[in-house]
Amino acid sequence: MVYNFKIITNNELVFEKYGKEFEVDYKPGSFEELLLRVRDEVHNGAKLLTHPLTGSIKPNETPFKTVYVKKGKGATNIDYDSVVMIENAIITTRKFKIRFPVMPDNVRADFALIDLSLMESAISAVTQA
Amino acid sequence: MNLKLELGYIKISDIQFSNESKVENGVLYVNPEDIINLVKEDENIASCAVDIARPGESIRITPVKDVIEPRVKVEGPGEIFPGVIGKVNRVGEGRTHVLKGAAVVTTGRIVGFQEGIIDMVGEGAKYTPFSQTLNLVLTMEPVDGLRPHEHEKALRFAGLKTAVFLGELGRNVEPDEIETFETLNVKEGIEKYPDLPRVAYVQMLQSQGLMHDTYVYGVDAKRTLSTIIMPTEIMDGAILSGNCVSSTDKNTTYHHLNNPVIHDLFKAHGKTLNFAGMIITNENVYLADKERSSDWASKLCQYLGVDGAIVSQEGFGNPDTDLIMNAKKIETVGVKTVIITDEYAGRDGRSQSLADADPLANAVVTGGNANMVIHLPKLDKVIGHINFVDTIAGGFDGSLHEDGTIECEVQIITGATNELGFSKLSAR
Repeated sequence: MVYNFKIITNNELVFEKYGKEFEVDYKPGSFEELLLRVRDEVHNGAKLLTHPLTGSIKPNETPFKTVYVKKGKGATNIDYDSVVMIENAIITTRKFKIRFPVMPDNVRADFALIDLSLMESAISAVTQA
Repeated sequence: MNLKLELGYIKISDIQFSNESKVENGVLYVNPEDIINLVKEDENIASCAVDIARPGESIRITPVKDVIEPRVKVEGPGEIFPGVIGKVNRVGEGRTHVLKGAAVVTTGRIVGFQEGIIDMVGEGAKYTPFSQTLNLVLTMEPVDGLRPHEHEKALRFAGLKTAVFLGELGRNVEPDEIETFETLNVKEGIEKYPDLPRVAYVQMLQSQGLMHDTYVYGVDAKRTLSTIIMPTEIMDGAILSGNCVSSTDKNTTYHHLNNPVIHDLFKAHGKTLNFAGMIITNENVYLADKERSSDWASKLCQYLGVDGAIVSQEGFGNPDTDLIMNAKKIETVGVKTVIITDEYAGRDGRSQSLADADPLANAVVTGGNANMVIHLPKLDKVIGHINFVDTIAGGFDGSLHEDGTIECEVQIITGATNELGFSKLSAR
């Protein structure tokens, strides 16, 4: 099966779970860097399928973020709703200061699991679309 | 026939440990062994400690998972928490007894960043309504290797079962006060109050995934379409919380049972407005779900032919998008809206408050700025796990000082900026 969406993530757990089945663009990095990667995709025509601020966990708590996008057809086909949504998410993220210089491994693992769970709740909908 | 529910309030003036669990002369006596045995029926729970926390005592409870008010159905169909603890059956009619003033508080480490503080005294007590309740606190530890999904469920059920057990103690106690809530059907409402503006309440339910879930008659809200519910059903526990994040603006089960938007709409009903109905809708992560659910909520408002709608939110971040979609689409079908939310406006309160906006969302009630910084004193006793304070929302690295005091944002407190308005923050 070929899907027209891709998963952008900085969460290795998401890559491990979905990497074989779907197109997963995995790169370690900060929460904000992940949103900037999504923004770049949106500027290249991708459409957001999930909200960039999934979960009620604050951007300065969880280091992990995963976003599903519909693949774009280039910068001449911009989805402006997606542009507004990702820009608002970046503005919101910058309001929160980084809090964890060193995060315990168990807490990191829990945040990764929650991010995965939030995205699991959307995967069946995305694959049926 | 109208839907009528009587809430019989049994006023609880104290909780005490005793050999026998009972309610007598306004005192809730609890045999802790009864609670421990009940909770440990679930083999996933290795241990359970039971504590009492009263208003004014030097006690800090953290991390808070849920708060639940003990209730029992004494007349009419169904049982409390239908489809979850009680059998699946319609609720919201007849009579329900409430142990008013008492609450079950559950704590436990599901994940390493578990949230929520209730201080029973001092600065923090000002910000949570649960500093004013007599709390029976359960601190539970799971068996080794229990995964977070199962752990969350075990704690959720333990709290609900305990609340139902305590509620049952009030079955044959004569209430101190009875309040009656009557829901007219659409036709009767229009005939009875032809000149009053008809107002609906649209409640948004957190429904994004692990630790972000809400259940309606036992159904995971993320799997639902927006629908109509009777407000009195909620008073019998039709909606309950599996939501463990963003303690400041999550709705605990206690909030649902006592939803102040519903209570205030009933108070105004027949006087300044006609409370025409209630719609519940979800907050999913998939954007098409957000579109679908808000389409549906606006369609139901349109169908009910209401003049106005109150829309309440739950949680932080992407629900702002659901909120704005709801407001925009409901306004577009000719219904005036007021939204209830809270703000993350930065510590100085000067940043943009929400992650989304629209010119049609032009009337807002706010629960306050969750980024406001407060200082909590050291308290004598901690129930739960204080070391999580550094890693929960609103705390920050170093927020737990060596002398036991805490510098944090108000969002660390359970219910501080609640988006049903069940809070103490006010500009007055």
